[in-house]
This record gives sequence, C-alpha cells and structure tokens, in this order.
Amino acid sequence: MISSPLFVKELKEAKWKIITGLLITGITGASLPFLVDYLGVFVEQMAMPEWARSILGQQLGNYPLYLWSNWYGKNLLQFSVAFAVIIAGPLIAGERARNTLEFLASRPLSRVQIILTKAAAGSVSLGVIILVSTVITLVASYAAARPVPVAWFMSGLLPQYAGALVFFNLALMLSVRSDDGLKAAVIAGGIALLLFAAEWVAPLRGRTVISMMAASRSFVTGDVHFGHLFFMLLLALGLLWAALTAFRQSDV
Amino acid sequence: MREYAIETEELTKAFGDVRAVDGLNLQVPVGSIFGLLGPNGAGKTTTIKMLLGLVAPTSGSARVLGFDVRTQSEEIRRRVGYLSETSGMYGYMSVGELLSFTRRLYPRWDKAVEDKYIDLFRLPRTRRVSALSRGMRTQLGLILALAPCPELIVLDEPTNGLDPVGVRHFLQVILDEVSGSGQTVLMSSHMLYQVERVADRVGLLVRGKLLLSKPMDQLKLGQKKIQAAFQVDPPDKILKMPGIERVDHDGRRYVIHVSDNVDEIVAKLREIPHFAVEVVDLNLEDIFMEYAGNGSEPS
Repeated sequence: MISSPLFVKELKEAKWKIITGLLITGITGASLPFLVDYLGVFVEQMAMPEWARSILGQQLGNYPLYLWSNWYGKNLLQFSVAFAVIIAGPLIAGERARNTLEFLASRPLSRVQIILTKAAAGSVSLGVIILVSTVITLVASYAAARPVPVAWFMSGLLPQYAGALVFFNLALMLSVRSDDGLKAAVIAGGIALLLFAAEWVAPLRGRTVISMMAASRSFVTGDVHFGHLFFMLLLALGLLWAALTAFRQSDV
Repeated sequence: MREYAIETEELTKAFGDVRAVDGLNLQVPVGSIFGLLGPNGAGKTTTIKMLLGLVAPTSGSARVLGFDVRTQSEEIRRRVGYLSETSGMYGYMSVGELLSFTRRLYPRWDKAVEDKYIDLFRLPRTRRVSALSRGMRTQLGLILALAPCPELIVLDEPTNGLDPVGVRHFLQVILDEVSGSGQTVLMSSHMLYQVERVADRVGLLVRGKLLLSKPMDQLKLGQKKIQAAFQVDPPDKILKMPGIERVDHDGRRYVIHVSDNVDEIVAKLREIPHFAVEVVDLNLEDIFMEYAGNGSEPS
C-alpha cells in the first residue's frame, strides 16, 4: 500500500518544513519552563483587569497547570494545527501546480498508493514535530528544576496528534481538489480559526476538536479521554477517505 | 499470442458538452510503430491519457496489453514507458536522483539502457533537472520511458521544442531501440515528417474522431490525386466510381481524390476527350490535409 520510494521523496520534500517546525515549536516549548518566573513578575506589575490577573495568577501559581495549558492548550495546539495544514496543503495541489502530478500518476502507482503514501509521510513529519518538541519541553522543564510526571505530561500527546490529523486530512482533501497548495492550506487554516473562535461561544465551548486536542480532562486525571480520541481519529479517517475518493475520481 | 497492443471500442471522453474523443475504435498491432496524427486539439493527448488510466473514459472501453484501462491501469503503467511533452519533472532533483527515484518504482529496469543513453546524450548525473535545457529534459524523459523494459512505449508529442538535429537523433534512438525487440510504439504528433520517418502505421484523429487508420505504405500507395483537364463534361458515373473520395472542379479542370482502384479510374478518365490526365503521388502531409482540412470521413 505504501510506496517506499515515494515515501522517502515526500520526507525529503518536507525536510525544511520539519526543521522549521522543530525550531519554532522546540524553542517555544523549551522557553516555557524558564518564562514562568518572569511572567509572575509581569502579572504583578502590569495593569490589567482583575479577572485576567486572577486567571493568570492561578496558572502561574500551579506549574503543572501552567505548563499544560500553555503547551497543549495554546502553543503546541496552534503550531500543530498550523503545521498540519502547511504540510498537507501542497501534497497534491503542489504536484499539480508544478506540473509533476502527471509524471507521478503515469508511474506504476495506484491512486490509493499515492494518497496513502503522501498522507503517511506527512503524518510522520507532523508527528515528529509534535513529539520531539514535546520531549524538548519536558526536558527543559527538568533542566529548569521544575519536574513534572513524564507519563502524565506525555498523555496529552495522543489527543493533540489525533486532532492535528483531523486538520491535516482536511487540508489534504482540499489539496486534492485544488491546484494551489497555499489556497488549500489557507482554507483549512480558516476552518481551524473558526473552531478556535467557537471556543468563545458558550454552547460550543468544550465541544470542538480544538478543545478535545487541549485535553483538559487528561490534565486533571492523567488519563486519555478515549471517546474524544476515537471521535477525532474517526473524523480524520473520514476526511482521508473523502480525499482518496476525490483523487480516484479526478482526471490527471 | 495477442494481436493488438491497444484496442479501443467506442472510446469517448466528454468534458461538459465537448467530446474530446468521440467513439474511438483504434487497433494498434503488437510490434508496430503507430503514428497517431492530428492537429492540435484533435484529442490525441486525451486518448493517450485514457489508455494510461490518467483520465477516466466517459463511455466505451479500451484494453492495453490485454489489461482494461478502467480497472487495471496500474498493470498497464507497469508495462508502459511514457514520455509526454506536457509532463513536468522534479526540477529540484539531480538527474541521478530522478533516475534513482523512478527506477525504484518499476519492477524491471534495464540499468544498461539507462547508462547507455546517459552516455550517448552526455547527460550530467549531478546536474539539477531544472538546470537542463529543454532538449536534455526530453532526452532524460526518453531514458525514463525506455529503461523500464516496456512492452509498449507511448510518446505524446515527444519532439516539441527539439531542434532538427535533436529530432533526428531522438527518432533514430526510437528506431534503434525497438527494431527487433518486439516492442510497440504509439507516437502522437502533429509533425508529419517525423511520423512519416518512423511509423509503419498511422491513424488520423480529427475533432476526436478517427478518420483513418492504415499501414503507412498502403496509405501512401492508395492515396492519389488525379489532375485532369477535359474537353467535354465527364459523365457522372465515372466520377462516382469506387475508390473516388472527392471531386473538385473549376469548369472542366478537375482534381479527383482517390484512395483505391487508381489504375482503372485513370483508364476510364483517359477515354474521355481530354487535354491532360495526370496522377499525383501524395505524401503524408498531403493526405493529412485531405482529411484534416475538410474533416470528412473516408468511405
């Protein structure tokens, strides 16, 4: 099902995206444990509404809460969604735009193989960014003498990755229907932004893929919420299936 | 033993209301070099893409090397070497990287063929594909089409952009490579002299319809033009003899287009009082213009 030459080619093409992703997310994650003291001073000295000071003070006074909410609930959440659409957007549309799709499709590869191999390579690239940057964050936390339980912290990875795959496959589906990778990525990113915004609407709060990725229940219990995980994986598979069907029906 | 490498039956592709290929019935014998001729927009590329499973037919059926284009296109592509003028290559790869990537996609790959033509064309393996001239890219594409040991080689307008020396070189490689190998070649082109040089059979596609498909020698022997100037009006029954395709006249000066039965027709015409009756041989370009020019179907 997976073509190894194509898989290697895709990883090579994603090389700079992976490096950029690791740099940005790695530096951000590594800085989180060291910023907590400065942020405490900042909150004390800055003029701000009392409710904001209260929330920030609560976070800063509880290091595990601070780390989880800033990493899984904010920084990694935003970066993983962004890199998901940046990696997936050009996968098919980019081949079309640079006129290489015909070259690829005229080789002994089925459409299923092309899509699955590209999806696999992209998912691995995305997974590397999410996993390595999270490990860097954990190591930095220990380096800053602020240890957190490893298993507990790493339990946030699964929902984060599953949610990122939803946006990855959404961008892939749009990529199949487009000849502009940037356009596919921007539309998928726009849909993600709407879901971020939906978190501000009370009836939707906690019910979107975004909130499932932040996995606040895992923070409290250290357990993975398998219902949310299953839902996101099912959604990701559905979008992959839609991308596959559209690609099989399209002319090259 | 299969008789035809390619067989299509009422193969049709419509884009909206436009029928790019319209009820195509094409047969390409195994081992032949088949020239698919037609003006730009005739449907040659769409036909080739349907044969490779890149474009889904709207209706009709086609088999390539015995495999169905709808359900077994991967098997077809495994056995076909394809070079298209419109297809791009990965410009960021070096020549060596592109060859290595492509080599690993095929079950069979003749490294000796690859090396032979890399040397012959003097292609630098370390140079990026994007830095190659158009002619060198075509040569690289030809290597990618020949090295997988294909049973069928499909060339879609392969020589566009090549200079005359490059074209001659390219065609010679095709002839050298397939002579005696049993490989079949389907070459689409609107460059008639190129097809005339290499093809042993030709098909003419105009506005999505196959107007003729014949062996080259039969086509050139059979297709004639008779120029005649008569002293009296010739009788209708002579102008409607079997083999006469079309009759144009200006007063008593006639141009009679024939596809068969030439000797008998000339003998009958010479029985009519005349100033001159002359048989003119047609080359492929003349024949092409005969059909493509008026788009008529042969009788």
